[in-house]
Amino acid sequence: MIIQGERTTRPMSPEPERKLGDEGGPTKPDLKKPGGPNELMKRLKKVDPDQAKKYRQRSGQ
Amino acid sequence: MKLSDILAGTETEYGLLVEGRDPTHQVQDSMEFVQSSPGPFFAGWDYRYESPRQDLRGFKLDHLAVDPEDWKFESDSKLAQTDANVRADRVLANGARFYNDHGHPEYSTPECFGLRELAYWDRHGQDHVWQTAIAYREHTDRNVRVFKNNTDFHGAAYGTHESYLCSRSLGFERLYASVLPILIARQLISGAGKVGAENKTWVDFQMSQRADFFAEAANAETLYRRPIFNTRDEPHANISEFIRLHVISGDANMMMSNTYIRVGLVKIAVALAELGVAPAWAISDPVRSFQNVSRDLSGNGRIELDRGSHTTALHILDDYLTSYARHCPEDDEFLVLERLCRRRMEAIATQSEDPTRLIDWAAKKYVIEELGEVQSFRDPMAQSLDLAYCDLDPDSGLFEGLLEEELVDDPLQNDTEPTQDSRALPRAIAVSKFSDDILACCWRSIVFRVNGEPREVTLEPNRRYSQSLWQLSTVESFIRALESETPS
Repeated sequence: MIIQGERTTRPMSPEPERKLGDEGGPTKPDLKKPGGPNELMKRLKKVDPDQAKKYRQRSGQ
Repeated sequence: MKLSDILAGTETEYGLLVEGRDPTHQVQDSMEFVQSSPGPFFAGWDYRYESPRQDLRGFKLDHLAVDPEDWKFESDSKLAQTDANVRADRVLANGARFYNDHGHPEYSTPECFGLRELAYWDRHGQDHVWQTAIAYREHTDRNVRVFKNNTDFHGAAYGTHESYLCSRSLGFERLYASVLPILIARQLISGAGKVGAENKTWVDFQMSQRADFFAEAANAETLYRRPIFNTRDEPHANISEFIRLHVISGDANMMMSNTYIRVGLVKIAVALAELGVAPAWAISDPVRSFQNVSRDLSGNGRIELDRGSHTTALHILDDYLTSYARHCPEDDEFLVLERLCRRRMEAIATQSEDPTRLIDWAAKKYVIEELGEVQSFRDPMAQSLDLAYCDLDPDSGLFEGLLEEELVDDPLQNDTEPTQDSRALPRAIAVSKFSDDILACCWRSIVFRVNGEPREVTLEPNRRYSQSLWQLSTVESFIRALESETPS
């Protein structure tokens, strides 16, 4: 049972705390391949190359 | 009119991969998965008002088409998908619905007036589904993986739908003409991206997960011969007053800002339709145009118009944003939406910045090409990375990895739970406080048991409900307050 008092809620303004789409104007492409054994590269190495081959789903809506 | 005047929600069917099982078992697996949903919830759904075969154009289909390939699995299954028990409906403590839809766990958000609120609840759905996966593993001892995507790369699609409450007076013709162009154009800045094709014409990478599955511009089908514009007439409200625009052509987004954009753009089209000032784009071949846009990552995909001319998604997006700004200049939510859209449009049109940080399809392509170092999109690893992008497991999902490394710009991810004020609020309160008194529940009403008798209370779709409802301690006082409260 969820009691309202346990929830952290607040009214939402349409504007996020950090302005969406207005983070200092256009920026140059700044993506680099993450260097070293960082978390993302570890995740990439764990992906099973045949995962999609094995992935079969029922047709939904 | 403001965008926040339009009540909306999303429904996401999740991909389910249970170790050692195949699609023959998927209906049962999905049923058991949803039955593992953590509480609190009300179990059940009131189907009396459902009308999936009713068409907005004024007729009713005898039956809905089914995918003949998928039907092979159906005939092998001992479970009928229409059985209420198999659907395993749960109404959650935030007013959302969670159930088994054709072998996919589906999370339908609570109805929201605000875009930011809706993006929050859409993301909350991911968290709820993942918590359910943990519970399912414990109950069944089976390993399970869950994906927020729309295709299995082998020809099976499953939907991420949206609903928008509109005036019945709009009618099919005006709604179709007003909304269709934006459904084709919005994928440019909100598509989830997909490796390859499922309509026999190979492409390395495209913006939309769903583009290959559309066969017609408009019809009421959802399982086979899917349309870009769905004509199902099932308002989930008073049918004499309302239409629920049921959109089935969008993608499941990982970026919350993309959900914001995807829904916000349709709201713009609906608002302009309501005002009778929607841009007039006469698209001659909507299906081909949708696929052209999806397959041209430069943003120049050709949208064919009547009389032999053509345009692009960028032109259509600009036209709708400009029209709304002209007719509804005082809408703060629109200003945020416009800024989000134009930043992405400019990134694609002028390469002013890399769209990789901003749009799911671009981020996914970056992961596959640059980080995954895949030499060819025909390499099976490319589709495996595509799938891993939307893996809900926080320890292995690649989108979660991008967030951790701050390689995507999606500040809404830090939002906390919003205060609800739509008709989802009384539903949430009923489930949280008076669940034992509920006999039936759906989008438009709740049936309570009062003094041993059923009592149905209508939930008004255009009403703003008060937080003071939480303070009521008895079901009788709660019902009295719902029936006496007037629209703000």
